[in-house]
Formats: sequence, C-alpha cells, structure tokens
Amino acid sequence: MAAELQSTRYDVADMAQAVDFYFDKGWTDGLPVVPPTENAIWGMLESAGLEPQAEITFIDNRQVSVTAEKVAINGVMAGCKPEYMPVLVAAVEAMGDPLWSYHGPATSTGGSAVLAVVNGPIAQELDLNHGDNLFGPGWRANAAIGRALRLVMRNVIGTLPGRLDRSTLGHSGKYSFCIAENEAESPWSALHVERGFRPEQNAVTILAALAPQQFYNQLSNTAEGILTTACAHMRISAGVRSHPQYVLVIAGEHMQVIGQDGWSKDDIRRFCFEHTHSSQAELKRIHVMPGEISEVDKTALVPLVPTPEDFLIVAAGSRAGAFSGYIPGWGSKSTSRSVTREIRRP
Amino acid sequence: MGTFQVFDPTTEAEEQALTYVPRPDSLRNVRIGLVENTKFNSDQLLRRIGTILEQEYGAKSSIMRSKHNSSVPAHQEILAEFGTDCDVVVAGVGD
Repeated sequence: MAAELQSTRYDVADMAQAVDFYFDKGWTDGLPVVPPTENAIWGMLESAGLEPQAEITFIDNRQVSVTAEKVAINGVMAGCKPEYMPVLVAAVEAMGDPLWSYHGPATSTGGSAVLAVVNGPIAQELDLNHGDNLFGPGWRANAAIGRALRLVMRNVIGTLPGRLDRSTLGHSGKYSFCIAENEAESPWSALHVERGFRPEQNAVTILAALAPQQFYNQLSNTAEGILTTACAHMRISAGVRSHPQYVLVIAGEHMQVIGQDGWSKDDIRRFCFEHTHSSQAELKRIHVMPGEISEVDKTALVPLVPTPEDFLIVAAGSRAGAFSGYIPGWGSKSTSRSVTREIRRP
Repeated sequence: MGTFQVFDPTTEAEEQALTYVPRPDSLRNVRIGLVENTKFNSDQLLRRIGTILEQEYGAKSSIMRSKHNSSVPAHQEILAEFGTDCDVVVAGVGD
C-alpha cells in the first residue's frame, strides 16, 4: 500500500516505557495496552483490505470521522490479531448507524456497554468463544475485540468516563462484551440468519446492553417450564417500563430441552412476550410508573419489550449446567436498537 | 536496545463554525420555545418555566415541542418552527 499512516508518532525507549506512556496520556481503559507499532497497525489494515484513511463511520453529533487507521491502532492496543480487524470494522460501522444512535448509549447515566454477537464461520476461525464461561475471561478474540470497541469509543470518539460517558454505575461489560453463537449445536437458525444473512456469511450484531443476568432451572424438562422461569426473572428487570430490546442467551442443557420440545426461536419469542407483561397497577406499586393506582390499572397490561421480535435469541454458553441468561438492552428501542452488519474480508 | 515508535490512537473532532444569536436584553414581549426531551416530568418542568417567564418576566407567549427521544437533537420541524415563531428557546436534559 502506498499510503502512509497519518497519526502522530512517538519514540519510546522500550516496552515498559511505552506501556506507561499510554497510561500517562490517558489512552487506556485502566489496563496496560499493547504498544501499537507500525507493522502491527499495517497488519490490521491489510487484514481488512483498507487504506489508513478509509472512513469506517462518521459520528455525526461528535463530528468525528472514525478512520481505519484509528480502528487499527486501538485494535492493536486491545490485543487484537490482524484477522480480528474485519470484525472491528463491521462493529464500528454498526455503532455509527442512526438506529443504534451513538449519543444515547455512549453518554447515558444508564450505563450500557456494547454487546457484540459474532455469527458465521469467522467465529470458529477466530476461536471466538460461544461456550464455557461465555461472558468471562479466557479467550483472546472475545476479550480483545470487545476491548477494542471500547477503546475506539474512548480514544477516537472521546467517550471518556466522567466526561462524555456519564454512566452512574456502568458494568464490567464495558471492558469487553463480545460473544459468538453456538451455531453448530443450536437447534435453531442463527441470529444473523434471522436478520437477513445467509448462514455462510459473517456478521456482527451490536446492542447497547446492560449487564447479563443468570437464571436457574434444574427442575423442568419442558420448554414451557424453563421459559416460565426466564420470564419470571425478566418481567420486572432492568428494562421494565422503558421498552428496550432484550437478548435471551440459552445455554446447553436448556437449549437441548427447548429444542427437543420442538420450539422454534419464534415460539420462544412469542411465549416470552406473552409472559413478561406487567399490570399497570404493579408498575405503579413499584414506582416505575407515575400516578395513583386505579381500577383500570389492575387489568391494563404493559409489555416488557415492544414486540416479540425484540427478544434476540442466542444459543450460547456451556453444555453443562441448568443455567441461561438474559441481557436487558439500554434505554428504549426507540432511542437505540440492535444493528447487524456483514463482516467483509478482502 | 534502540527506541521504537508508537502511534496516537485519538482523533480530534472536526471543527464546526457555530454562531449564537445575541442574548436579548429583556424577556419582555419575547416568544419562548420550550424543547421537551421526553423524560419523566420534563414537560411539567418546562411548562412551569414557561409560565414563570410569561408571568414574572413579561414574555409574550410560550410553546412546547417534544423531541423524538432524549438521545437525539431537536428535529428539523422543531428548528424550523422555533426559527420563525420564537425569539428565545429553553432546552435542557430532564432526568
């Protein structure tokens, strides 16, 4: 490639000084970063077939152009291998989509992270975890891709905690929040296929998301039993009354039982939609809806999510254990919704 | 061991030329526009502000319009209407 990197260069004496230099500049998430060298940055760019100045997205309300070069630099810093770059590019594109609506999720006191769900053959090629310890540490691709997205938000788009990012609590997914779906063992269509892609295509779906919550059901051997537990946990949860989208993560044992009962993802969505309504009386009683409780409130029902399609179903998590989980989306669907982008490779 | 080079990961926002309308010397007989951000009670707060500006400061009128949601700027219809029908605009984030 003939183009040159445009970013300011700094000379450092050695690795230890480089690591401290990034801390001193305020360019890390609180953990040491990998110092981005020219070779490593070019490796990322070439992996995605991008010139340094290619614009990945433009964040309108910040008036910031996010270039391939800056995504690559932050990707190296996060610990990415070059082959992760196309995933980063697709996820950053998605963050610039008006439907994701950068300003709200990035700045809100509500404190969301960017959940990224990777689908397609690339997940296995990159060794993205879809199984044991799904949201925990241990897989480089999951850790580095999720971390890189937050570093791009911080360093490129200026989303600094306490300044532009005014999260009251935030959560640990803001360090990294990237998973794959267990497409090989799932009885269902993959998330990206449901959203218009072919199974052999690679895609990433992002959602402005709160922290994952786990639920336990070791008693049921029916789909209805397991999902009744899921709905009891979700019905009054973080998204109540604001009508966001929710991700339902169905792990191994539950996936088998629900699949063996013949339930499709549509069946799961319909059931969960119907069983997560709350009465206005209850919402007023717990002070998430204003006003006095009237007779009408006792029978007037409010759904958790706007439509059944606003439950995103992902088959993932360990084969062992009668646990699954759910992730409330941030805010409301009308302020930010999940976006899927194809992961393109040269 | 020799030095090596590392790169700046940050980006500066593109410069925008913003101009401000001069602040009025007085609120007497001005038309107030209230930008409501859809959060709980922001409409009540702004309505009260509008009333105070009319009753205590002599503003001529106040109208309130709601944004599509709290995370986006006021949309074009609001800007166009306030541009022609208002002299002073009150906006803020209610939470």
